[in-house]
Amino acid sequence: MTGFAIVSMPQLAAAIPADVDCLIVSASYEERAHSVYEAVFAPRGTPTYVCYNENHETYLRNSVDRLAKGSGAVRVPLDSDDPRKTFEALKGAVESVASHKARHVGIDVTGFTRESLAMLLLLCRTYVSSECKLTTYYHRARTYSVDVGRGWLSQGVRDVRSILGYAGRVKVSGSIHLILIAGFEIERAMAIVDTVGPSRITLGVLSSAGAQRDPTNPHVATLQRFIGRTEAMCMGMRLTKFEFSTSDAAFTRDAIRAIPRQENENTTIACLNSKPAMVGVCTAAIGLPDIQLVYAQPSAYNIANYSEPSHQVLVAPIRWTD
Amino acid sequence: MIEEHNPFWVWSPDDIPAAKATELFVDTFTDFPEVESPGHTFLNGPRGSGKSMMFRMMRADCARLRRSNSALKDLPYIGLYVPIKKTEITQTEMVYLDQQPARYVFSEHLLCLYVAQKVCDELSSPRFDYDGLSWQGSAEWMRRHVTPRLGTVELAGASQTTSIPEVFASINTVLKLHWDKAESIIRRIPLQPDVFQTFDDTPLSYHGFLLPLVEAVGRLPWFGGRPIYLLMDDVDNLSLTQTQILNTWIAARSTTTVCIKASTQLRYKTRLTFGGLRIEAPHDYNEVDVSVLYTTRRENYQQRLELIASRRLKAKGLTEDPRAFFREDSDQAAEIQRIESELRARFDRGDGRGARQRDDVNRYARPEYIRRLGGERKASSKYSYSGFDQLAHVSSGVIRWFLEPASRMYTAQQTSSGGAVALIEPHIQNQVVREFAEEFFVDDLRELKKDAKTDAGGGPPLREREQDYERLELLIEAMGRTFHDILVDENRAERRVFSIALSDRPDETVQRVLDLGVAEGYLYRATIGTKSGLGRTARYVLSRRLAPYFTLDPTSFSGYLFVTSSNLRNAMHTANALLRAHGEVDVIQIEMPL
Repeated sequence: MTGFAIVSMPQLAAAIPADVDCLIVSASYEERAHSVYEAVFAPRGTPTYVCYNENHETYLRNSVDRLAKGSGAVRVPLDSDDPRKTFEALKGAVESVASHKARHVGIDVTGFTRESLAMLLLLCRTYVSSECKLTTYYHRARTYSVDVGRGWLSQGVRDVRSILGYAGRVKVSGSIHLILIAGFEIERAMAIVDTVGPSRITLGVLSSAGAQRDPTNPHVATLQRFIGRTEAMCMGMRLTKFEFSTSDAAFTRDAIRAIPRQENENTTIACLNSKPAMVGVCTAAIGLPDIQLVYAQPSAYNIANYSEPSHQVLVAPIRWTD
Repeated sequence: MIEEHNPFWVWSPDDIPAAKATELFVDTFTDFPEVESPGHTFLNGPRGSGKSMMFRMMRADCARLRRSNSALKDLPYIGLYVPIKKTEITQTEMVYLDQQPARYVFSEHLLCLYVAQKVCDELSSPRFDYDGLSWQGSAEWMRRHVTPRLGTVELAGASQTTSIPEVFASINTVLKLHWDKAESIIRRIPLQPDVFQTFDDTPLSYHGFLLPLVEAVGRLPWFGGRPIYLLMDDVDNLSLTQTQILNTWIAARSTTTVCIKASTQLRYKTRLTFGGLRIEAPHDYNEVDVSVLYTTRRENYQQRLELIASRRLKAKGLTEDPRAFFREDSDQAAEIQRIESELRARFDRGDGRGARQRDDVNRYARPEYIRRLGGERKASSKYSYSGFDQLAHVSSGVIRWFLEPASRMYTAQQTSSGGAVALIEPHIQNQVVREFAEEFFVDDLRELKKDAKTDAGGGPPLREREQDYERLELLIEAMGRTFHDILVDENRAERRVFSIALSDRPDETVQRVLDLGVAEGYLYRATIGTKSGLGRTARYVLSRRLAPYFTLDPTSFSGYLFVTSSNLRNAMHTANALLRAHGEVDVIQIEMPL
């Protein structure tokens, strides 16, 4: 059984029930971040919380305008350089959602950074009623820039930091176990390994079962290249692997929970893969507060040519537990 | 294990056993005596330049082996390792403390607990062999030095123990209770902003807790009153507030009993204390830049690297001569020798350009070979970066930049030869070292140029820091292209140029980009006398790791190019620029040890 459905864009409106009280979405320079809102929620006039990084407003102005067209739109200014500002702004938005006693909240995770997505999920878990349904939408990319020749997604690493709200419980005397979920950007992986200084690494690799369930995933070869390079980079460290899913958050959550952890060890997780995988990481970490999440903030994104839309949307309920 | 098969394996200093570390380590302390001398010291250098390995050799197990297994009390100091890991000590939640009036007090409390735990970890670890000694009177010692400062926490039976490691482990247990209290406050702040008001522990300070505790440790009989060196690795990972606190500790000048040895990757945030005073060298601390070893004492570095390579080859049972293991391409070597003969003959005919025949050979043979490859055969990219001496130069003073490609070469050679490796073939050396140069430039810098193109396409201005990376990329490219042009210009008297000197004061942006180049390891900074002969000016040396990328002679040391701030600004803003227009290049010979 999978924890998600893949819906093609023409069928999306029919697949998303009418009881969704509000949508939380993030502006982005990626075209695919607008599709769910424009195909489903804009025609319905659903109240929408439009998050955007105010420090990149010049890049994002058009995107914000597209997502905040409706009369019930609330703009939520975040700042990718200032985790505290982002956290506080998201907290305000989630408290507002909670105060309206929403019964079903939709979150389009496509345009969020992994860091702000993690904060948002923690805040939803904290402030939104457990009776409220949360459903995520993710418009999958058909290709990323890295899939073509020597393309790129992001460049440089401005900062590697723990994600606010996911500090973990640090044992100063303990060694560090890094769970690194493979993605496309080896430079970010290297910065994370350098900063965290793990004594062992568990590398998340694509689930063969998940791949069988989701044979349309176009990124398998790119991921295999990343894994090969990461293994080469981490030579000498104790390195094991576990399987995660790029599409199935619940699978990823359970896979993380199943990784053996040692008593005198700090567990740190970095996810460099898709937003559904990040949702799985966050739901695992919220249930296991000893775990720390880290995020590598890039210096620059390829705003011109990051990805192409696939016109397929993953729809998945958030399951904190089974 | 892979490392058993690869002699150039890059060990993590944290993990390397003492016996292996001492077997492979080549003494660099003679070049930097300040590091082992009493006094606070900053040890600066890019990643991979050997700072952590120096700290590894200063820890007790290695320090004893280096001194014929001498007793702890006979060591000149007791080195205790305190790695500063960003995700352990500077969680993002700490930003919430910035608005707290008591942020310095709380941050110092946290930093004291962190350092004290690392100290006790080390003292209770197998790295400290107490030769079977037991600790009589440990209860009294703890009653005097631990219990009063850690409050009323019970020592839970530890007072009865006489095992030295167990006593330190017990202290750690108490420290952990305090740490957990403080850390739980930090963890809860984002969701409970007023939780800070519930902090009810007694705040610990350097002078009230950590310094007296560490001094008391140093006075223990088995340490013989030796000073304690806190080996604080990667202190650039501290937050600004924590950095100011560490500076306040350094300003204390407690160096007869406790010395702080702090390593940085040239990104230390400030020299200000939290009282606003500035710590200064040499009054408060000494400063050592390990990258200077290559730019100013090149022959020392070459010899050291030769020893490192030789020891590793010997341990693997291979030839001990790195030059035999990493041979230069024989056709290339023969052709360069032929050019050397031409130059000698020309000098003997009275057509030489230098004062001595040897000068002409040294200056022109290799540049002329590269020129002919490019000029006549359009094949300067065929120049072979092979041979131990070239590889050593390309490593540019960073030991890891020799070991990493050497390790890859070894693996590639194994694949190529089907197992046994007696030497690394020149084409494999050349291929790996060229890839290594391209990674350095393309992956870290050149790609940012594309971002600039995006910007030029109508987007908004990039943020200043991103622009600085773009400027740096353009500057590096201008330096590489200019130096290559000079190298292949047969009319120039000095063709081997690898550095620039400033003939005027750079503006703020130019200086910031130059500093960024130094911090990222693309440039090294030194000083030279000014053109006028009055005072000194800054000289910036291009990392020789880039030599294969721009087809430069990595053995070049002789010349530098005077440039103005305007030249640099132009280079930083113009694609495909040269540092100076053709025909106005004046290169000045400098004295370098050969």
